[in-house]
Amino acid sequence: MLRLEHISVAYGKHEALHDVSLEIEPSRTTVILGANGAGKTTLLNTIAGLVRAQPGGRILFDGKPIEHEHPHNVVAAGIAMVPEGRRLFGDMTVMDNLRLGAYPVRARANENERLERQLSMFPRLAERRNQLARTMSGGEQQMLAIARALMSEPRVLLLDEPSLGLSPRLVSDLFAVLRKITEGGQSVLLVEQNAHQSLRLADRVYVLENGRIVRSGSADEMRQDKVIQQAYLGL
Amino acid sequence: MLEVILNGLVLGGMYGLIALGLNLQFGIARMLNLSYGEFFMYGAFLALFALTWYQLNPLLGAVVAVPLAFAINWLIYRYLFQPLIRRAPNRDALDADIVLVTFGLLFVFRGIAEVNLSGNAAGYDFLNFGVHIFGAIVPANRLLAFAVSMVLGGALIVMLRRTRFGSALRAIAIDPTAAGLIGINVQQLSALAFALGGALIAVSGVLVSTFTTVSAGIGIVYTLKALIIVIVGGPGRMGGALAAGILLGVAETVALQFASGLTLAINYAILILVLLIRPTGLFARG
Amino acid sequence: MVEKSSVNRLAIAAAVVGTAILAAVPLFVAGYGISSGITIFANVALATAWAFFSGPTRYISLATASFVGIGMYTVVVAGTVVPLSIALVLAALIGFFIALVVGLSTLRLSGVYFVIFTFGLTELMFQLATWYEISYSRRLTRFMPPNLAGLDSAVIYEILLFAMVVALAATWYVGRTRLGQALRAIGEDETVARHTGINTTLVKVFVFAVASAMMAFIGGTLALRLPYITPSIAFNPTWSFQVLIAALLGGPGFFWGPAVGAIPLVLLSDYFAGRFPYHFSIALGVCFVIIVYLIPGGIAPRLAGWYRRLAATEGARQIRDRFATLRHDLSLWRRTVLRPRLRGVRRKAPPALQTGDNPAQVPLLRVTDLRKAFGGLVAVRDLSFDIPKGSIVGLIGPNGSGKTTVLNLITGELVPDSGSILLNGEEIIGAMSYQVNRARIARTFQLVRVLPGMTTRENVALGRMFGSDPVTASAASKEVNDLLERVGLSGHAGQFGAQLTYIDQKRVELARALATHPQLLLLDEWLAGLNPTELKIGIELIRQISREGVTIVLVEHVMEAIRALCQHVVVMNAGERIAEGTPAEVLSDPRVMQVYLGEDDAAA
Repeated sequence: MLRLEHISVAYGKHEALHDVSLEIEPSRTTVILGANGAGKTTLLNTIAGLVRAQPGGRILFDGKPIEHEHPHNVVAAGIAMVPEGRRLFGDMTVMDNLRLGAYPVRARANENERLERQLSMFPRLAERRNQLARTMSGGEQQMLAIARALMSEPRVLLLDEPSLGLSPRLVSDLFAVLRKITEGGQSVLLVEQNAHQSLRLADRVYVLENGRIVRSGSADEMRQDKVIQQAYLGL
Repeated sequence: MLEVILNGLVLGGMYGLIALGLNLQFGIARMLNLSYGEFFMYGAFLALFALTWYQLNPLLGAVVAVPLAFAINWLIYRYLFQPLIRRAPNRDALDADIVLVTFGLLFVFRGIAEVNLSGNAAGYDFLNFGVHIFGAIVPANRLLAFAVSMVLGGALIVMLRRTRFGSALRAIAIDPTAAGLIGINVQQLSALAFALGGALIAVSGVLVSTFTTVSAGIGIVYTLKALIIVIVGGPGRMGGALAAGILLGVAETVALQFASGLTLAINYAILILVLLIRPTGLFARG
Repeated sequence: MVEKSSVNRLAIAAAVVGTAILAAVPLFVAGYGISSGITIFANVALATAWAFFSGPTRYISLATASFVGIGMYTVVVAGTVVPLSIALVLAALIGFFIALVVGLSTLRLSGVYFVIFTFGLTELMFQLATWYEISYSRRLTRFMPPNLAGLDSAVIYEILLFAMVVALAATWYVGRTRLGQALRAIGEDETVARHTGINTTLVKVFVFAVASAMMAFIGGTLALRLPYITPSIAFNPTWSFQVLIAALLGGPGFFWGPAVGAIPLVLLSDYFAGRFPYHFSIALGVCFVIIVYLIPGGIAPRLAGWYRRLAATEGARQIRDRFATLRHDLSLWRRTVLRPRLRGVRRKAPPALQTGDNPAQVPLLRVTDLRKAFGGLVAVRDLSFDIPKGSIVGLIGPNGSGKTTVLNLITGELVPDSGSILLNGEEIIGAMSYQVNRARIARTFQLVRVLPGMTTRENVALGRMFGSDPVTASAASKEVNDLLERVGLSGHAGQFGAQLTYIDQKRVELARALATHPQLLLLDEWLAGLNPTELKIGIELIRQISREGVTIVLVEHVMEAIRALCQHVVVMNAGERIAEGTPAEVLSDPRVMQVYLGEDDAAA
């Protein structure tokens, strides 16, 4: 469904991504693991259209190339991103943020219906619907960011380190939500530091190191693998 | 004293509108447009011509001024700014380029006006009678200008808060990257916001010309007033701009009782105070 | 930087001769020639004065006309009671002080406020002058005092020639000193400048005031051409505009750039402005916009490029060889004949470094109950830890745990809400970043900040010139070379920051931090993104630095480095310290594993 072929990205002389190829399948959760500076955020930003890949690389969504598209067109095509740090519209209310999520033309038709669905999936948001986004706690903000992204009815949801700054309990809640999303038919591409929980959620795993994919496999394979623990704790 | 305060409020309401337009350009489209006031000047002169050449209500000058200002500002954003946006390596370099380009545009627009009008000041009589309010006298032309400003300003604020387009504009003002990530075509809407700002200042020019003399060189003064109000109120904050505009209007009118011709000095005094004490703006959040 | 001093000696000689020739011109030419000279010198001088500040710092001043006008009024008013020379000096002083006020109000904030303030300054001055003249003098025109009104234009010519030479010489000279490097650093990356011991506010305000003083002097001289002045003549915004065009057309990167831009401008305006003043304004505006698009950086870099290519040709090489022989002979004569007759200047011994010799009891850095919140988000919460002198302490924790915020609080970029940070027992909260650097705390940045428009050598030299032990540019160079060699950058010394690879940029940052002679070095994820070989080299480099007595705080995710280097590790999560101890203890602590890997007991 979403495929990256030979994607390379450079900032000036610094090669952030080198010859990255991967595949996202429908209704599956794909996880990208890697240390800081490995290129995880650059990867998501490139898919979302914030960063341009070098010539020769392709990003194909249902066979159509999207590597040249601006971010708003990527969203319109059906790929939504929850960026690192959430980037909510802090001075706007929960409802405003959610409604803005349905901005793409494609998503406007069932806006109210979808709004209700988000609010039932995230009851804490329903309670705080008129609260300003920046006054909410970290966990609530993360939920809002995901709900906002879901409002555009994406077929692929990209998440950049959603567990950042959240307590372990909230992280569990978060991952439960992500599980429900894939059950609903959407795909999730998750970039994480939090290896264990994401491994439990994942169908497929890629490990990124210095801008290159160094390991990939099914989640089962990776769970047994000492490599993950090696990468994170030097054990 | 009441009369002074009332007149100050009336003036301030208009200043608020002027600042709202700049907020659209500076706070949302994020372009510091030094040629902003030139469209005020053109609006003023078009109103003057409507009256003196065609014997029409000068407010009808807006019929030509507003679409023209909208179109020209849109073209400026689309064809002058966007290439610079694409090419700039970082935000600071872009800001510098925009300042320089709009500074040059200022001279172009002013020059065009001066060629045809050769620097003379002009004024006209319109609704030049007093209206009694709470026992004080306020000139009807100022009152009308105030009323129209309030209606337009109010409409703008309602649009920003209640329409999808307005929400998108506010989102761009808060975080343009995040706005792009939820499907907003940031460049397209920024161009529209910029154009709308130009239209607003043109209307202000039409309104203010009913009670002030205008010359080809007044553009700079009004660009400055707008900049100062936006800084005092906090860039991007519409409510702050209105409040700061009123503050400035009252301060100017009060000061005028003591020394005429020093309006800009008052503006600068307020600016310096704000810059020294609270540079993010009097009404900005923490 | 300072290089090729022999070429400069030739250039200086040429400049002196050229100035003498120009000064003699009025003896042979009259009327129009002198008048053209006056206009050219004034424009070149003003454009150069503008570029003196706005060129390297990139703070665009739109207030040239304000200071020209200030100078004009000062001379016309003071000229009635004091001689011309005093009046001109007075003009410069008044310009200086008004610029101080403007600078102190706006240069502590971002560039945009400065631009806006200077944009309206001319109009403000105009209104003030108009108000004063109408209220007190009862008329707008102010006539030149009789003793000045009949002044020979040749005098004006010579004064402006003097001003132009001073402006050019000052720009050229400053460009070669520490001050010039500081100005460029401010323009390239002001955060880096602040962290490298440069008092950026002081530098900006002072240089802006000097530039404005020059403009006021020139303005005062220009008044001498006129029979009278009015506010609109004195405070004419066209000055600001013209000077900007000249400087940008020529290119502010070279000291002669504005001069090159001013000359065509003057010739054009002489021709057009008289005939079609308003059309000329439009044409200027259009040209200006075109310059911004097509010639960003001005024509000077292009000219310099052509010159370089020309200089690389065979013919040029032969000429240079011939001069080299001549120079060699001259220097031989100087050493064997001339110098024994002159006394040499005693060099000062370099000051002893602060040894920071406090007994081992007091930790080098003690952080107590540090707290910082941004709105509702608490980034650092009741954090306390010690950094013993001479140690390498690791600061680890998942993303978003507050590690970089802690570094920012230590270096003074952020002010904590409560708590204390003691360096050798002294509180450093409230100190500005450059003061913290001079107190010998240096850092690298998570996202590498190398000054892109300066060479590797210049980047590192900045640290040596302004750090805790400031020296002049020339005194810095030996140590800079040593540092470059140490981090493996000798081969890249002349490359510009923007051309370096990521790894080399990291090395530059490290060398620059070391050049400030720190006693405490804060490394913010310096080892991120390195391959295994580079990682080994990096670890060894840090170990070496530690052996030389520098205390190091290592914020890292690369656990291999933490294990290899740190004696002590502090673990943070969500702004709080959750564990502390040796690397082995901390990395096997279940709480630590949990925050990194997530809730799971299936650890191997």
